[in-house]
Amino acid sequence: MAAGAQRAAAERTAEEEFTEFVEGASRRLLHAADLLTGDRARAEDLVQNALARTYARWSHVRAGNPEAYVRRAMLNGYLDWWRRLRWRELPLVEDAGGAAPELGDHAVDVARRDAVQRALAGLTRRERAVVVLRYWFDLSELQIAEELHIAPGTVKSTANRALHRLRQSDHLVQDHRIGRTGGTP
Amino acid sequence: MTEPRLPGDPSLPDLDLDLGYADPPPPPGMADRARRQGLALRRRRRVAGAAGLTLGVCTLLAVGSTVIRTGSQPAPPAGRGATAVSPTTPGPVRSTGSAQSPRPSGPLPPVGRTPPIPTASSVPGPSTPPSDCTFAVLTVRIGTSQGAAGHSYTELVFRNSGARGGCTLYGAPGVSFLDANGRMLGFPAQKDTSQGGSKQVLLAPGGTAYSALGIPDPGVYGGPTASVCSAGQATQLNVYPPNLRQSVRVPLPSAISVCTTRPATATITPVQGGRMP
Repeated sequence: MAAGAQRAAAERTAEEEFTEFVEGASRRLLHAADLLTGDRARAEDLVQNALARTYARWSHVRAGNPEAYVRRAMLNGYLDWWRRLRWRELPLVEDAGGAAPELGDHAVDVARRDAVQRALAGLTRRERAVVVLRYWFDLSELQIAEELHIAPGTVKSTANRALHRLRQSDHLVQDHRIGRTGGTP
Repeated sequence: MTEPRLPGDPSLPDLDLDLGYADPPPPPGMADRARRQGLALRRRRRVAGAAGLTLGVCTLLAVGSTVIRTGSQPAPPAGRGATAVSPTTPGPVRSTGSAQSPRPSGPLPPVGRTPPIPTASSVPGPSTPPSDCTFAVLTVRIGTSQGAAGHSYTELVFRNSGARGGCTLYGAPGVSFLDANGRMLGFPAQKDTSQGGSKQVLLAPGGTAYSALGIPDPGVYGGPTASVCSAGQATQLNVYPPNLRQSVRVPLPSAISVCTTRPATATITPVQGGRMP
């Protein structure tokens, strides 16, 4: 009896923990997914599926580093062509009406997002993944190498190539410069 | 494996890449949906696992019985045993597929999502977003064009083509130029509030509102000091209506040249009711 109650309580806290985790991490993850896919609806699907995978293994995951697990699941979904196929087949959530009250005027947001997305659009999937891990999740080269199961040297060369291309595309750099000097170049 | 990341490591330039921008808030109910989907996934795995296990056991039994039955004959049974095994090996794979296929993992029903259905009479209260027109009712097209010194103004017309209720628009849309290949040209239009700030516009069914898109004339920027405006031919616009994260491509009546460099960025006014004067 007592053991049953205890177990129920433990499960409840696990559930609560999951909800809390999702609430805490989803914004950051969605942003990353948006950077990867360049499409809000697909980003939401990607995160949603990664969260589902995480939940399916939650009793194991919660003891470790859940965010790393979701991140991995997300990158798997993004990089793995087999999973990608299946993920594409999932119905998209039509969330056009997703209310965003604080975003009355988003011309500037959109401009900023467009600049970033446009710069990233020229990269390969792996390059994009490396850039997002490095500059959004702030991981070191070594951590990225572990995360993506590639050699540190590959991370380095990939990042290099990606940054070179980002420089060439100029959108991000220029946008950034403008942002810092406050308007007129 | 020890490869410290030096701050000044030339191989990974410390470009201050700012990948941030304002996001819409996460959709509600993510955790619940993940839960449902995750449970389905777990169930599926269990089914697949059980199926695999059963098949494995069956295979073992089959092999075992083959071996036992043919135990007295040494040479040929090896071959027969092998053929008995091989057809069963794809089994678990197939069973995984069949266990999954009837459940098209679609636990994403829009449960609990209650899109506000505005009526013509109700101006949204504080709880509804200031801009709630969605593509369910909203259409975007190009209206009239006007020339001005160094600029042309093109009207973007937003129309509520829904039959049932009104919806609202607030703020400036996000607008960028695309060439014939759908590639973006230059920079997205910057918000221009010189003609008036943002105000909420109520679109009754059939009603229209507009935003004026100011397009700088690349010719004007060819002067001695400004060789900076390199131009490209835009054939369509990519428009994000206020508060929407989905865009629509609107073909331009004729290709226009737009500056692809900074100093001459297009401008866009907040949405105003009616049509461009």
